[in-house]
Amino acid sequence: MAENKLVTIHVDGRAVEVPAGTSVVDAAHQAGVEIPIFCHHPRLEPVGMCRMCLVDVGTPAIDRATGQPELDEAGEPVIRFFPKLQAGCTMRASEGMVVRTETEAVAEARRSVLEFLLTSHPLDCPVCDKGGECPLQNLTMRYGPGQSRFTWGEKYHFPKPVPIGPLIALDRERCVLCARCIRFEDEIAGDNVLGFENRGRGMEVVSFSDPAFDSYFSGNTSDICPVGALTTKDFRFEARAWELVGQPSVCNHCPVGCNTMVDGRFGQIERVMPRENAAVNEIWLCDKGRFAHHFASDSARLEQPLVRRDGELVEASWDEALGHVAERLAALVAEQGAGAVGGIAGGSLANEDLYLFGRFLRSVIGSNHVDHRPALLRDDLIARAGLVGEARLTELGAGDTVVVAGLDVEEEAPVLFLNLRKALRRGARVLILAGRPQKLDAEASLSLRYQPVAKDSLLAGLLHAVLAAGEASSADTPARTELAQALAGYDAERLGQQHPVRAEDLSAAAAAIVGAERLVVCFGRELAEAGLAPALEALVAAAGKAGQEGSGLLAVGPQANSQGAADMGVLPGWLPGYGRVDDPAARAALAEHWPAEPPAEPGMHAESMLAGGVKALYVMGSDPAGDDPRFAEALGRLDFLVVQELFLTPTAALADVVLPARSSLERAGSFTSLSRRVQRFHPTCDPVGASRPDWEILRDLGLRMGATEPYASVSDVFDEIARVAPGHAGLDYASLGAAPAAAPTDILLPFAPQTEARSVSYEGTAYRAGAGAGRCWAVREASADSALAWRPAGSEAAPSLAEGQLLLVTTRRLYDAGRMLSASLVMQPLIPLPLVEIGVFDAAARGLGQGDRVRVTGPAGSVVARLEIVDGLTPGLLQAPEGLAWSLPVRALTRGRPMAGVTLERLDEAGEARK
Amino acid sequence: MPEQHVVLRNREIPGLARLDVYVAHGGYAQLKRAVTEMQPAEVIDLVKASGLRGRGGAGFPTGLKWSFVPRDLYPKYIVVNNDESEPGTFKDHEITLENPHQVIEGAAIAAYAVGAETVFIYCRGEFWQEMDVLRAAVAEARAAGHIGPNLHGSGYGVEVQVSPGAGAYICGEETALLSSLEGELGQPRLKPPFPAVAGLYAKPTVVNNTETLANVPAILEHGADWFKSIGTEKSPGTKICCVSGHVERPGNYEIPLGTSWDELLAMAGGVWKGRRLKAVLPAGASAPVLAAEQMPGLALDWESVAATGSILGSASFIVMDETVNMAWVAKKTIAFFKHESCGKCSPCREGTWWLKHLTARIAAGEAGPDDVALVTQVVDQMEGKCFCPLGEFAQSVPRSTIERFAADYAERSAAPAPAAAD
Amino acid sequence: MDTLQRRFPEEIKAAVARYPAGRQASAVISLLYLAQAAYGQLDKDAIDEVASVLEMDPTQVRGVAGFYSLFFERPHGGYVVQYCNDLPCALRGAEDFLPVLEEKLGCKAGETSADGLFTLECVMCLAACDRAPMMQVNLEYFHDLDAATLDGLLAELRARAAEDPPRRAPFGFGPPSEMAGAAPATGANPAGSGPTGQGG
Ligand SMILES: Cc1cc2nc3c(=O)[nH]c(=O)nc-3n(C[C@H](O)[C@H](O)[C@H](O)COP(=O)(O)O)c2cc1C
Ligand code: SF4
Ligand code: FES
Repeated sequence: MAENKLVTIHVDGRAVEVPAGTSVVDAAHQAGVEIPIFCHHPRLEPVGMCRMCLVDVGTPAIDRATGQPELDEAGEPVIRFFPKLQAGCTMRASEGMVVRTETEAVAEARRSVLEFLLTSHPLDCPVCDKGGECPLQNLTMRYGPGQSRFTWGEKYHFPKPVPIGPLIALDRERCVLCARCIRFEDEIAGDNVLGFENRGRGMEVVSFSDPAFDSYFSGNTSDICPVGALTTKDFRFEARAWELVGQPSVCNHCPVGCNTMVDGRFGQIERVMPRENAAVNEIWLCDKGRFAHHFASDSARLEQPLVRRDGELVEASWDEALGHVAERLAALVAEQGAGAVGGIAGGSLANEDLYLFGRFLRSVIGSNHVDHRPALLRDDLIARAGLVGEARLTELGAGDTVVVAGLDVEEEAPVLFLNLRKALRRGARVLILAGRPQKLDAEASLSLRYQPVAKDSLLAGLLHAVLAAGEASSADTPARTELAQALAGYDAERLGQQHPVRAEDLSAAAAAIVGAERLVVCFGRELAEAGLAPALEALVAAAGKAGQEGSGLLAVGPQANSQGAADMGVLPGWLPGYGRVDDPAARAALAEHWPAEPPAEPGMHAESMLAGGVKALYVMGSDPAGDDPRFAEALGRLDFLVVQELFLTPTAALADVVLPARSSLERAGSFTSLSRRVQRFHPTCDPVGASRPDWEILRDLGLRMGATEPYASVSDVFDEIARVAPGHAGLDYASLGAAPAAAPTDILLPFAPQTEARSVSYEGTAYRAGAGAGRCWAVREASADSALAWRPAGSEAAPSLAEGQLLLVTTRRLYDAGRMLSASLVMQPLIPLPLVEIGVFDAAARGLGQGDRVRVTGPAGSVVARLEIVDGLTPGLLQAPEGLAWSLPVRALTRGRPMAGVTLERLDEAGEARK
Repeated sequence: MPEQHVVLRNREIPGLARLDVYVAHGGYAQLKRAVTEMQPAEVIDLVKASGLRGRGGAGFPTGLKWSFVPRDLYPKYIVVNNDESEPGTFKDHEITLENPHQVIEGAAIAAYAVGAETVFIYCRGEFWQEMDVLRAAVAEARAAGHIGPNLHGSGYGVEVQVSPGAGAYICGEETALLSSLEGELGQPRLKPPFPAVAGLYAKPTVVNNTETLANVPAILEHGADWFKSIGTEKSPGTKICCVSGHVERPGNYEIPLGTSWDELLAMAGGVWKGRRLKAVLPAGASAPVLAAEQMPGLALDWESVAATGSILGSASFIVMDETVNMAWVAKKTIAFFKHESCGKCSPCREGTWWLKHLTARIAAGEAGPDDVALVTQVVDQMEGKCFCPLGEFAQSVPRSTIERFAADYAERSAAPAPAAAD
Repeated sequence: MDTLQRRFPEEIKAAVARYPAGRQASAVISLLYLAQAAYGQLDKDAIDEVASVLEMDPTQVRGVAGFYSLFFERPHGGYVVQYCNDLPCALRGAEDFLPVLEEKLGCKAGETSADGLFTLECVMCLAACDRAPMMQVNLEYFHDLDAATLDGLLAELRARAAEDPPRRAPFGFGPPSEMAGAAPATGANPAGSGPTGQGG
């Protein structure tokens, strides 16, 4: 775009250089001059509705004859001012433009517009949640008339706030009709669920979608609303803005790693706001991230260590509890060897927790039975083939191609969905490879649908097409040639028989992949579980993008720190930083920092440990018993079980010792996002009872069992990580927290004094209170040849279906019935009840209707659910979202497999099966 | 000068709305000539040379507007602005009912000139009789091969669609019209880009008034010089003037531009009931008022009317006799603009609402001592700040009546009870 | 929820066909007229059906319906009488004539007559100022009203309603050429018969 050309404009005498086409408001801001705005928002397209930004604008006069600027006697260009004031938000900067904001006409315009806006405003600031951080208040103070001449009682009155959606209340009296909320939902979220109804003064914001305001991103509208018209249900009347103290944090509900500001008062969390990170979430947040914080103050949180005495879990002191654990573990190791002990961690714990977890088990206990679950990454794939450089997904655009593979982006990584929509707007191509419909299909450049049982053949076919498309540009290497030979049978024709994919779409996809300037491949659990992630590594290499800056893989894991869990070596065969356990050099390097060298034999996976492979288990932030009754049974047979947890989960209830942990909101640490960005979070509220951070518990336990490292803070732990993990070299805890240099894409910060801690929300973001934007750890040099080693297995371990059976595929929804979300009263009603989804064709063939009650019977039992009929679902499939309030978790129903053959029966009112 | 019927030739030719009559009087011959004998650029040049200016209000040179359309972007559209909703304007109403084919032919010629293959005729929602007439006319013309694909073997084809509005004055503003046509709220859009570059569906689009396009076949038939020989140098051709209010014979009068007001008033039978003229709104509710003293000898063309500080607009003359109180007139026009403000920008939305309260209170004789001054201040606050011209139009009558007829306001402020309108 | 599609299948097709492929939202105004005729008013069901036919969000459709003055969210009389009392008509006596009209219709402006036959609204200029006082009844023009002609006119409208019950609510507005299946478009004042243009 021509926008890269720089032009100089003068704002109140200050010259500033900006890309041509920058709005006058933004350019002035860069010159340090505030032009007040209401409808404009730096992240939205300008509309020029509110007229608050009117300024005096002139451009150099051009001599028609010569085409050159006219000069006055002094040799200065003659400036022609527009006869009328111009809206600074819609006026674009051009070379030599002169903007005046300090004239009487501009002051009069600002007074006028403010007086107009206030004619309809209730001025109920004393009871308005926006009070204290309200642009209308602030701008009225700065530019408004001191008095309104709209004196008589004819203001519009409406009943006070009405619920415009389940999470947002609308106070129509306060609305200044700037359309920011409507435009956000339309432009950014892609949910056309808000609109204006009526016209003129009668206009109001409405939602007629069903359910109302049906958007995962609704909370953002309350941030960017420049008045108190849109408020979130859980913050209404809770606190005044100036009482809040904000602490920077990182969302722990999905792997995107959105930056947040957690605002609290008296040690309690009052709200979660987005914090700007131009590389990650810009200033957006999904509703899960915003509203799920209530779990932290849930009364069911564990407050004291518990130790089992006489079959009962009873409260104990930390000293007793840790002493007991140390004693029992030492005894077990002495009696049965270190191999009798294993450890399983969850992926939403901090890097420091996960690192010390592995260190404790491998080096203090001496066991390599270390794993995390649910796991996406099983090896060093991302160190080999991860996106090269600092991932800035918000900057993808024309020329770039993003492949989304085996992932429902909006459900599994909502703000990544916003990033991809933005990339599309900026001209990037987005290709989807998936087994089922998803919301991004409507906008994606191309969607290729695979048969879930034959995913590898589609990938093989795509790879085949990519090799063919890349022939002209890439030199043939032996590896390429061999791969091409191995894939010879996977032509478009054969693929078309297996998958609903047209030949021209396949070649268009290949062309987009090969022709990409940057090629980003995001993949999710569906492909990873099928062992197909290496096929994507091969795809990047086949496109000639292996090791290229800005290209590579992104693993979209199931939890906030799934990436970090793998990085920290919470994998049986891999050490922190992806050294192999069986590599003596890697072990020796670690031994310099660890009490002892870890054993050389790779350990067991979580599944094997849970199948009776160990005698004692240390479980941290994971709940296998809740996930599957089989695991509960196995855990019950252990000699010893220690659980570090927030709640008394089914697993904790089976433990011999339960250690109460702090959530990420109550402590410091770091998470690693799906783009490998290591980001720090800070304590945001008072801890619960005697709970302690996981890393501290592990440190103290280690000290009791022979470790000597006295880490004083997470910073000490992190800095050790940076020493042992090669990719993390050069990162240090302090500098992760340094504020990034302001990028031109950053949002406008308010012209108000900035303090470190207070997070005054303005233009929809809490400004950075020195929290830093994090850094991405570095991948290794890539080897294209070994990346091309993947070969299709020919057959996936597809379950065989009996007559009349459907293939059950487990899926994931953003809103699940887990502890985190169900603790939030406002979120609870949004969590779906157990449901299964079937295609229109199968429903018709079986005489099933929308909303029917059905029983699904799988290999390990049966569940009852509501049936939903879905457009575009492949025949023969039945989808079941994991994580809902199932009587038997669906993954247990399938014995832990992502797919299984099941039978489906419709139930009558009495719960009897009907023919 | 007498009336001269170019667009209103239906007055002389009974049944001109019928295709056979229209064709018998030379109808569709010019479209045929254009597509078979002329290059598109020639058509544009001819219309440019004629000096035809838009009849929708702004008087923008039509040929020039057509020439802005980029050559290499397709598809392109012609949109006929048949939204006619300005108070006191009723010319397009008569043209579409009585002479629909001339509009269709003119639009089709415009389409050929700019390279468009689709014409949308956007009619205000209340015009369903007009829509029926237009649809029937389009169907007839298409069946007879006057419009449709591959016209006269030329390889060029044009389709004409009639689209309804649903009651919104702002949809006469060209960008709001396009929003409405795309199925959105009829709110105006940012310019630039101008419709000629990115209009309907973001494609190059020419929006022209019904009357403007109805002039085009005659220009092709008789030539640019003929057209220029009518009217004034800068305002050539005829203009249909809608005369309403206090005259003996209200109605449409098509006159050469530059004809004097006195002649037009005479055609309309003079001020009714033998009363004296008090004031005229020359462009509906949007024009600053002209006092009776300003009228004698006033030439009715864009330049001469602009010289008085008012506008000719689409030439809808609302005539008011000596009995009318201008404070009441301001109340009526403000009620209109308040009702029609689209709500997009704050000065117009809030200003018209505020003014509605103020002017109603003044007209009712209940004004406070500062209310009249406040009206002036509020219109000052709106001036030059609104997103589109509607908000600017809304100030015309209150501002100008306070300036020129202060006594009327004084009378209302003093009078305890509201007086009747006439 | 297919009242609209059952009643006006052909009309819907024709309205959508007027616009380029993928631009079906352009037909929303046409479909709202049809829906108003089919449902009697633009209630939630009507909006939802239009939205689903045009693949729009109901919020967008509701917004459009709310913006324009010819769409009714609530029930209205079989005849919607839209009486112009804008400035030009008011100058020619429209305000004085309004009480006469109200009395003969049996309802005030903004109300519906007790028999549900007439809803009276005062509206802005209808582009027939030369023949004031004037009104539209279900968008059909009636000019040069006076007490005497009004009696005859209302008698005729009542008679039409009596012999043609669909004339009673619900009655849709809109061009008959767009609503072939709706009530017939007979008029006291058929199109093309020269409603204006007295002056020439
Ligand atoms: C508020 C407003 C209302 C308008 N209404 C109409 C109208 O009803 N009919 C019309 O032809 N032009 C109307 N216009 C002018 C159009 O925007 C546009 O200038 C015109 O259709 C161009 O056609 P022309 O060049 O043939 O005059 C209106 C403009 C404004 C600002
Ligand atoms: S419209 Fe408004 S907000 Fe907006 S900046 Fe411009 S004028 Fe503005
Ligand atoms: S003002 Fe009444 S029709 Fe024009």
